[in-house]
Formats: sequence, C-alpha cells, structure tokens
Amino acid sequence: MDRYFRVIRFFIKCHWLALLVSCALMVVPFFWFRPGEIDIGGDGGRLYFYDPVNLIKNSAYLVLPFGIGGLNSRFFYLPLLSVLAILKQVIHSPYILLTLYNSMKVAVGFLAVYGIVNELLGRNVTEKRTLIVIRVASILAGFFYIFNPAMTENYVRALPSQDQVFLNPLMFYLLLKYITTSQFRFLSLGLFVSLFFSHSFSWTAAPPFFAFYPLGIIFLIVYTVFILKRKMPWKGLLFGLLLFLGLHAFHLLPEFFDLFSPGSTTNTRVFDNAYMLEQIGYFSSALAIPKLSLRWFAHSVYSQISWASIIIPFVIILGIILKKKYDKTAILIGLFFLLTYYLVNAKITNIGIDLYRSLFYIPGFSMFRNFYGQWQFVYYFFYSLLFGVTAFFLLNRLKHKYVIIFSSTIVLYFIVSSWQFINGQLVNQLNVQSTTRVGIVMDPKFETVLDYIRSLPNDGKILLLPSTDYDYQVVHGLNNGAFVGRSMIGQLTGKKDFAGYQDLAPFSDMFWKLSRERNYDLIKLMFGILNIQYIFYNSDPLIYDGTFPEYPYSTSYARKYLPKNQKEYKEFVDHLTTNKIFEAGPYGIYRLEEKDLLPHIYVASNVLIYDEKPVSSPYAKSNIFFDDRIKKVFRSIYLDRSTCNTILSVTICQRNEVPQGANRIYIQFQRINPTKYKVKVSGANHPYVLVFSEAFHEKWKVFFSSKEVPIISLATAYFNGEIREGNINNNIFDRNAFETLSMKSLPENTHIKVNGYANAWYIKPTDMDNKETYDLIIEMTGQRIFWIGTFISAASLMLLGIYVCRSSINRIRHTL
Amino acid sequence: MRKKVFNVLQQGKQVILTTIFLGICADILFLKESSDIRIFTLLGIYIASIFIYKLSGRFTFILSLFVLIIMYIEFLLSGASENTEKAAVWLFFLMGVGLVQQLKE
Repeated sequence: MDRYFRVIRFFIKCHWLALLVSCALMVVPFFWFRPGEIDIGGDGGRLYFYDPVNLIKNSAYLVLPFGIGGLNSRFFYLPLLSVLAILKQVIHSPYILLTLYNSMKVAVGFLAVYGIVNELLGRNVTEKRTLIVIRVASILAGFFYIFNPAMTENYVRALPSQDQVFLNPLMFYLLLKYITTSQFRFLSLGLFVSLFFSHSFSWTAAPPFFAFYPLGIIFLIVYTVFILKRKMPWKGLLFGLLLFLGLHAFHLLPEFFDLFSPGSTTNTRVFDNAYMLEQIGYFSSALAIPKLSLRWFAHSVYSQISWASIIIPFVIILGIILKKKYDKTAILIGLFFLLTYYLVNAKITNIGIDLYRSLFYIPGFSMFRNFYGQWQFVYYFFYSLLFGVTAFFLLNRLKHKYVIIFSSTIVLYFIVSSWQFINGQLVNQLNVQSTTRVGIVMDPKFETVLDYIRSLPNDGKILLLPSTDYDYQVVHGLNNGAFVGRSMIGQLTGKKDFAGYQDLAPFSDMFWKLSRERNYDLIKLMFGILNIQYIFYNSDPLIYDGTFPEYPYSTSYARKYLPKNQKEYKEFVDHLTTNKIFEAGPYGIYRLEEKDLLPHIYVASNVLIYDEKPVSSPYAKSNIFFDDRIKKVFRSIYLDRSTCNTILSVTICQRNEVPQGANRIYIQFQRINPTKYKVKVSGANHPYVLVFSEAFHEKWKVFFSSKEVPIISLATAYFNGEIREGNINNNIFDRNAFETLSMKSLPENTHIKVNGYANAWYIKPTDMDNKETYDLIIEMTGQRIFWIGTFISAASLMLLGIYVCRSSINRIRHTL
Repeated sequence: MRKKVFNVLQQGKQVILTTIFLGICADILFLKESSDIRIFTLLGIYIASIFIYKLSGRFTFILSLFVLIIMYIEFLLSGASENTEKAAVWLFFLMGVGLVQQLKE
C-alpha cells in the first residue's frame, strides 16, 4: 500500500501544475449557467441530465417516441442513461449533474492532450530541466486544444455538447499507453469508457468516429513501428477489438442489420448511388464555407486580438527551424496535421478538390459532406499536438525566466481569446431568433403535466400546439430561458406526439391546408387516421406571441397556416374539442370527443381506393388521397389501387370504395411495450383489414398466438365496445421477448400500407385455420436483435470484469 | 553538355531560388486567380532545386516562415481574401515538402 502512495505522491510532484490547471478548468462550467438552469434543448438534446429514468424507458426500443413511430434505434444511450439514473439518486439537481459532466469534459480533454504530448516528448528523457519544459509545453498544448475556436465557437458549442471533444484525446492517450507499456489496464479502461459513452461509438456518431479513430490508429501504428521501433501488441489489440465489439453489440448489432437491410435510411446513405451524387452536390456547394487561412490563424475569430493569431503557426515553424536534430515524432505529427488540414478544408488546388470529390464514391464517405465541421476536431487535435511538440523545441532553447514569460503570455492569450466562452456568454446564448436563453429553469407545472400524461391509460397519440415548422417543442422556464428541442413529451412519457410539421408526415401539408381553411371536421378525421386522441396546448404567450417571432414558427410556414397568436390558438383548440381533462398553469390537455376517436388498432369498415401518384415531398403525400369521401363512413381507410389488386380482385378494385363488414368483428388489444401489442379477435368469420396506426415497416409482423391473451383491465372502449383497449403495460423488460419465435406469422403478402403510412393486414379466415376467435401478437421483430445484442454485451462485460479483476489481483500479489 | 548545364545551374543557385521565391510571392500577391498549373510548376521547380542544390528541410521551413508572414500581413490587411487563401495553400505545400525532406534527412 505504501508503494502506491509513493507512486501517487511522485505523480503529483511531477504533474502538479497540470493537475492544478485541470482543477481550475473544472470550475469554468460553473460560470456558464446560474444555479438551477440547464441547457437540454437542440437537435440531439440532453434530456438525460433532466430525467434519465424516464428516458431509459423509451430508449430501449427500436420505435421512435415521435409522430407515427418510425424506426430508429437509440439503444446507444442506455449505458450513459443507466449511470446517470444511478447518479441522479445521489445528485438530484440536473444543473449540478450537467455542470459536473461539462467540468469532467473540459478537465479530461485538457489532461489527455497534456498526457499525450508529455508521453510523446518525455520518452527516454531524464534531465530535470528538459522534463519541466516538456510539461510546460504539454500544458500549452492542452490549453490550445481546449480553448481553440472549434471547441468554443458560438455556432458549434462543441465543448458543452459533443463528447468527442474529450473522448478523442482520452482514447488516443489510453491506446498510446497500452501500445507503449503493454499494460492491459489502459486498454480495459478505454473499453469501459467506450461503453459508458456508447453514443459516441454508434452509427449516429459515425462521422466524428470515422474522422478520428482510423487516423489516430494509423498514427499509433506508424509511431510504434517506425519511431519506437517496437512490435505492436497485435494479440492484445485483437482481444481488445473483440471485447469492444462484444461490449457494443447491444447497439451495433441492430445498426449492422439496419445497414444491410435494403431501403433503410442507413443502407441508402451508404450504398445508394443517387444519394452519393446528391452528397457530391452538397459538398460542392459547401466548398465556399471553410477558409484556409482561418485554419492557420485559429483564434482570429476574436477580432480585438486577431493580430495575435499568428502566434501558433509562428511557434510551430520556428520550433521546427530551431530544432537542431530533426525529430521524427514531430515530422509524423506534422504530416498527420497536414493531412487533416486538407481533409478539413478540401479546397487545396483544383486537383485537390477533384480528388476529394472522388472520395465520395467510397461507400459511406458521404457522411463527410459537412467536411469542414466533421474533420475539425481531429484537425485541432493534431494541431494541438504539433503545437505542443514544437513549442517544446522553442522553449528548450530559452532560459528559464523566458520560458515562464513566454508560456504565461501564450496561456494569457488563450484565456483572453476564449473569455466569452469561459464566462458563459458563448454557452448560455440566446435561442435562435428569440429573446430567451438556452439555460432553462424547469417549470414544476410542466413537470406535473408530464406526470399526468404518463398516467394516461391508453395508447392514443398527442398533438402539441402551438405546432412548429420542424419537429420541435418550445417550453418556457421560470427564468428567461426556454427549451427548444425534440419533444419532451415523446421522450419522457412514452406517448407518441406530433410537435410540428415534420412529425405529421404524410399529413403535414394537409394539416396546414385544413388549418388555414379552418376545416375542423376534416382535421378531426385526419387526427383519427393518425391516432391522435389528445391535444397538449401550451397557452403561454412567452412561447409564441412575442419571444419567438419567427423561429421555430416562421411567418412563411407555421404562422401562415396556423393561428397567428395565442388568442387565435385558443379558439382553434376550442373548435377541435372542449373536453379539457387536465390543466396546470398555461398547460392544458384536451381529449378529442368520443365520436372522433380512432384507436391504435382497429378493423376497417370501408376501403377508399385511390391511384398512387408521384409527390414532390413525403410531407405532401396525403394530398393525393385524403378527401371528403372519408366523411361518409367512419373507420374508412385509404388504399392505393395497385396494392388493392394484390389483396382483392381487380374487378373490385376498379371501384372507388369497398365497404367492409367491420361491425361484426370484436377486438381487444393491449400495448405490452412500444414494439409489441397483443390482440384478441372474435367474430372474424369473413376477411377483414386489421389496421395498426404505426409507420409501415416490413419488420412489423402479426403472429398467430398459441397462448390465449389474458383478459385485460379496460382502459378505453370504442364503438360501443366493439374495440376495447387495455391498460398500457409499462414494463421495460418483456419476459416473453422471444415467445413469437415459435409462432406462425401471417404471410408477407397480407401486409399492406394504408392511409399513406400505416400498417394493415388483410386477414382471411383460412389464414387462421378458419377460426373466428383467436389471439394475435403484433410485433416489431427488429427488436429481437437488440435483446440478442444485449446478451452478448452483458457476457462481454462479465468477461472484461473477470479479466480486470484477475490481472488486478495478480498485480497486487506481485507487489506484495 | 550535362556537366555544363549542371555548372550553370550551380552558379545560378541564388538567382534561381530568388526567382522561385519571387514567383511564389507574385502568385500570392499579384496574380488574380489561383492556378494549379502555376502552383505545381513552381513547386516542381522548387523540388528540383532541392535535389540540385541539396537544400535542407530547414531551408524550406525558413521559406515557409516568409510565406506565413506574407499570409499574416495579407490577413491583417484584407482578412481571409483570395490572396490570403493562396498564401495558405503555399504554406501547406511548403510545410509538406519540408517535412518530407526532414524525413529523408
């Protein structure tokens, strides 16, 4: 034990300055927000700091909690969510949690770059003065990395929002230490870190991942083989890679299947030629954005001190010139720096641009269409290393007092140039085109609304008003802060919601058109088709009238078609329903009238046939079929003629309408989880169309259940009890996740798309062995892959745990 | 003949190197549009000079330092203008050449 304390004491003695700086850096995020304020909005959002427990419940499924429920896995958040959920039991305040997280990122990012430069330069150095200079140069590199504009700039706000900022150098450092020492603890620590931050190693994070890791690993191989002249620990690395794949199987496996599933978004992005060509066009139009000179003069964005921006490149070139004997490490870093300089700028001569353009023909490279943003972190990483190494060459030639003066001046320059970042002005900024700030103090009344929505017993979807141009929700806080981001209701309550135009596809254009015409009857019928049963109306004037005059409700879009102010919105809501079931402050929840409700699962009573036509946008698709015919018979569905021909006879499909005998069929259903529904059917003595109002996907399948569905506690009854919906089951883990493996599923050709988006099955008595009463299970079969992946991940984690414990015990025994 | 040419080149070392440097300056400061032919011709001549005159990597980095200073002055005067951008391209190539030279040395 004494030996360990000696090691720690020696470590602190050597690196006290770096540790002191990192402690000081940890304080910086506490200046960004006032106590209680949190920034959790934006595209990615960081609701996991606010309510990780409820977020876990909705992240463990392949089906998105928004709109019509498209597929998109967010499994990669689960490890972070689990740890945060545990931490939340100790640290109740999301503000403290978020600030500590930011502090950790700043400090670890700094320390990792410091550690890398120290490791690269300090190898085989014993002279005390040189060691001190190396540490000073390493601190300068760390400072440069943390305070470079890519990390702190206003529009990127990378440091508080992107984990790659600290993960890149940390993983690089751990790999470097493993390769140079062959000690498995560095690799295992890296594996644990990667698991915890799985979202940074997922398909969603593919651009930053593929921008950094391939280059970083090639650098380490070249460094080890050609500079250190050592053998690479290939066996250990292979073992580490297998463990990595095993640990991440829970999110990589579904993503892998998605990649090779024809027609999926990921598959299109990687393999579709038309998409590749589209991205080349995007790349060409983006070429004007990056400025080559500004990449050299990194800190020039701060106009008052832009004259000093030459310091960094000047130190680099002067350092190389002054070095008597060439340093291979510096050369290697320099070459990687130039490579990334090219990748982040692209426009180095016309030949360079053509070469870059041709890279887009490599499957997957189109992820770098925003090359100037996606490569900038790896660029600044190598820029920092080069700066640190060359600063050492320069400092090593100076007398001690000049070393202090020079390095202090540079640190001062970094601090001054990043002052707006340090004091929080760049972080706690104003929301886009608004007078509100991003840091919000959550309104407890809104929290009671979330609780209420969670307690709603049935599976109806929710329309959010005021509706936005995109898929954002706006919630004002108790301070002058507002949340603008993907809907909190969808993510934290488990109820799917429509926050704006994009969520409403394929009825987006139709909703705006009908709203402008104030055609409430058709709007309500459209809500039925979308399974909207509730309206959440936020009447707070602070989220619509004055504070958000344009974004995200622009005058050219949302405000042009929807009510222009809260007063008009109130009238709009009153025309849709007067059935207010909950109110807390400005937040009201309304339920549509009984006659307007359509359940999530129902039997169609009438088929309205239309001819498919090409449409300009997926948001306008309903324009080709949605019409007044739907007013005649409730529970009507729209079916395109070509699909109709596949399930009914061509003669029948010549008609515009085909009535169905739905009222003699009784069903009761229950949501087990967002990927599984149990349905009990009775009286089905003739063919019928079973509609499931969820985004169409071939992986939704209907299984003929051999087990009887138990009688469920009733949540809602529709159409005089013809359709009965049971209480939602909210258990995360389904003990019978694989029960459908042994069950017979309905043939593929019975699965059709209706209403322009929804799943439906044309079920004939012969498909069900001529039974009239039977039990069905509707399941998203893609979810099974997640469970298999989770099993592999758990096994890998156990293996890693055992390996780490065994080697730790061996090390302690060896020491004793 | 070959020896004669070599001798002439050796004697004209300063003239040739000065011409290259002035060529780079002219490309950055006076010629309006960026041209790949111009850049690669000048760069090709400079690389040939490295072999002929056995120029060191340090020399190339000193040249880079001058280009950096030109880029900096341009940047202060005109911001990220076309001239500044051209200087940045030259700095990129000269640093690349310098690093490769050092690697060989």
